[in-house]
Amino acid sequence: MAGGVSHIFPSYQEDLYNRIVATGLVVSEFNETCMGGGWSFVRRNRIVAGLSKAVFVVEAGESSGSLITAGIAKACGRKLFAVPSNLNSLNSFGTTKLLKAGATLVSEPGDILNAYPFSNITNNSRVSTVSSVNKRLLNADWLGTFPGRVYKKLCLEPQTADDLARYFEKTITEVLTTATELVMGGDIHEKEGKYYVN
Amino acid sequence: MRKKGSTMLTKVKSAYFFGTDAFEVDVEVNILERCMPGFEIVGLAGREVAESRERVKNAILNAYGRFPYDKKIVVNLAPADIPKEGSYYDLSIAAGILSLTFAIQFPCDSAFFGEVSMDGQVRKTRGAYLFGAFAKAKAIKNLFVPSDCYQELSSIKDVTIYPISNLSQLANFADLKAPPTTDLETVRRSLPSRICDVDFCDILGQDTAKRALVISAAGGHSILLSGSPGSGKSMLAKALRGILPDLREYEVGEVAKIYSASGFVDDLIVQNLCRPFRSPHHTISYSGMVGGGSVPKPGEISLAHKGVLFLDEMSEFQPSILECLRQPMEDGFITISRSKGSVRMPCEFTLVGCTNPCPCGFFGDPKNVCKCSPPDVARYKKRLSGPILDRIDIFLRIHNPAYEVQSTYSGFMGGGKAEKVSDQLRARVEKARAAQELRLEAEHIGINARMTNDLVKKYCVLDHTCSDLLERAVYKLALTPRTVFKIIKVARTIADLDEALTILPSHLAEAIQYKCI
Repeated sequence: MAGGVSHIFPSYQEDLYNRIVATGLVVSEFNETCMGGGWSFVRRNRIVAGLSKAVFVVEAGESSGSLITAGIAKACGRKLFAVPSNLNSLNSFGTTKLLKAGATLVSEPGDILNAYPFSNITNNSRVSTVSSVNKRLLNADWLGTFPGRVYKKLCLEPQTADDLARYFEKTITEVLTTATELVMGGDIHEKEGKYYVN
Repeated sequence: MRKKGSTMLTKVKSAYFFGTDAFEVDVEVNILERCMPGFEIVGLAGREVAESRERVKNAILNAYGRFPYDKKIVVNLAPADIPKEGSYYDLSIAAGILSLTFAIQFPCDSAFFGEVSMDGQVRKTRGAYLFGAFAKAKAIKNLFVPSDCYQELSSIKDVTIYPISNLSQLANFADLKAPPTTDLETVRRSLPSRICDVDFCDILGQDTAKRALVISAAGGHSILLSGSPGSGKSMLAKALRGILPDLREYEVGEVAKIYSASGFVDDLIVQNLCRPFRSPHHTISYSGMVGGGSVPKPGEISLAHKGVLFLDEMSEFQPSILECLRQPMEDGFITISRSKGSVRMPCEFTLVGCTNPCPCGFFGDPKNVCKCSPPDVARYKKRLSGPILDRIDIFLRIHNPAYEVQSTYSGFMGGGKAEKVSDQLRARVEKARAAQELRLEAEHIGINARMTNDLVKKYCVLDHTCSDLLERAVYKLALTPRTVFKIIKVARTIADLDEALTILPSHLAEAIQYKCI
């Protein structure tokens, strides 16, 4: 914790805190009622890195706590993992920087599991992320239809209805009708005006 | 013993306004001779009415050169138990005195309305249309009104209107000529560019939003646009004004009464040309929103009757003021009760709201980073309560148009102007509206959005494929029954825009995507 152990922050995560207390451990280097502040998060990250065998960064901005944690971990000789992602995203800045500096690239769970000597993961039990994205991508007939094409496009990047209509040169009505079809089929979902594959 | 004084009595008609209602008032003028000279007004006259004495006295003096100073004038406003307010009794009091002292013969069913000024001019006052509508309902044949109000009354038929600009004209009122009024066709032809400065072609991209606004305009569906600052929400809402269908003839009366009662007579609206579009600021008070005052005046919701109430930055409105909208939105009228009485004013409006998704505005924005914590976002969303969101048919998330969209428009950055499209869209909306009016004629509602659940069952029969699709949607998206009815109503409007007699699965599928959550 970045403050004392009895100061739950952020307060809306009280439920998570209680679950951790029930089954795990809450650690802090501060007095029980200490409120903490911006500075204490950086100190907290030092403990997070120290307690871990390795640090895995999924998203990190240019000046983020995650990047600080990763820096401390590296200085202490911990292993670093990072996920590559879209270069346009501000949140990929940190991960890209880490990969460039020699962090291990993670594209599937096995990449992490294999790094541990105690894990005896065989090729059979490895979960391939690519095939888990969707079995529907194997159905060539379906991919030729308009819903299939929309689905394929959404696999690349989440899109708004406007984007899809412009890309496929279709009317909004056609796009929205198709979206309903795909949502009903459980292939995609909508959030904040954009369509995402499930 | 004194000799009994001789008296002369005359009665003219006027009216008393309460909200948008009007009641008959008899103005009785009696002139007593051989009595202590004076000028009294009785009949629970308010301050403005009492002050009328001095105005009338000086006006008559200046217009006719003399006034019966030597006699006692008593004016009674009957019924005497209702408080009278307003300066518009001046003309009737003056007419009563003139008919007695100068022997001017007014037709027996005449009513007078207007304020006089010291030099005898007759001034325009609030409520001329209400007065005209009242006269028509009471079959009063002759109306004497300030000539500035003539245009406001031009849609009142079967009543002879005498426009008076100076008291001296009352002596030979029969020779009066009507002042020129604007030719309605000329005004109509110049619409909507005259009232709406944003054409749909001025907005880059946002095709989904444009489509949704057309549906909203056609079926009167309330709509909520949420998006980051600068994404064009307010501009879209303003462009909606240009595609609203014309006010129907049977709707004009109600709307004109409200505008007349509130005092801001927008000539265009009174002359049945365009639908009201009201956009109050979020600092508005209760009575500003729903109407109020000791003699109730219409609020924004009534001023938006048969039109659009546009709430920009809807989350910034006081929650209690937004909650006030719940009942009026459901009923289509609001009853305002005050100590002096209660009045019922219509308020069938289409709600159009704009809001940011979070306090900083960038939640879900691809280009900018949102600085709000998840609880901040959740708290901001909660500002619009469930019951209010329940009354909104179409939800839209607006994003900043992609760079490609912006660069493909030559109109952007001062290039050539794109072709205007609002007029064409309005023609489609008109067609869809006409189809609804025809179908719902017996129910006296005219738009799909006002259909009750029973009417939806009656007029929107779904075939097997449609009900199957809807059933799957209910299961998949966990829709509530209320949402299902909203989807069907929106689908019905989409079908009307398509000129389809029945709702097809594609209409329903599109309606489901307007986030009927």
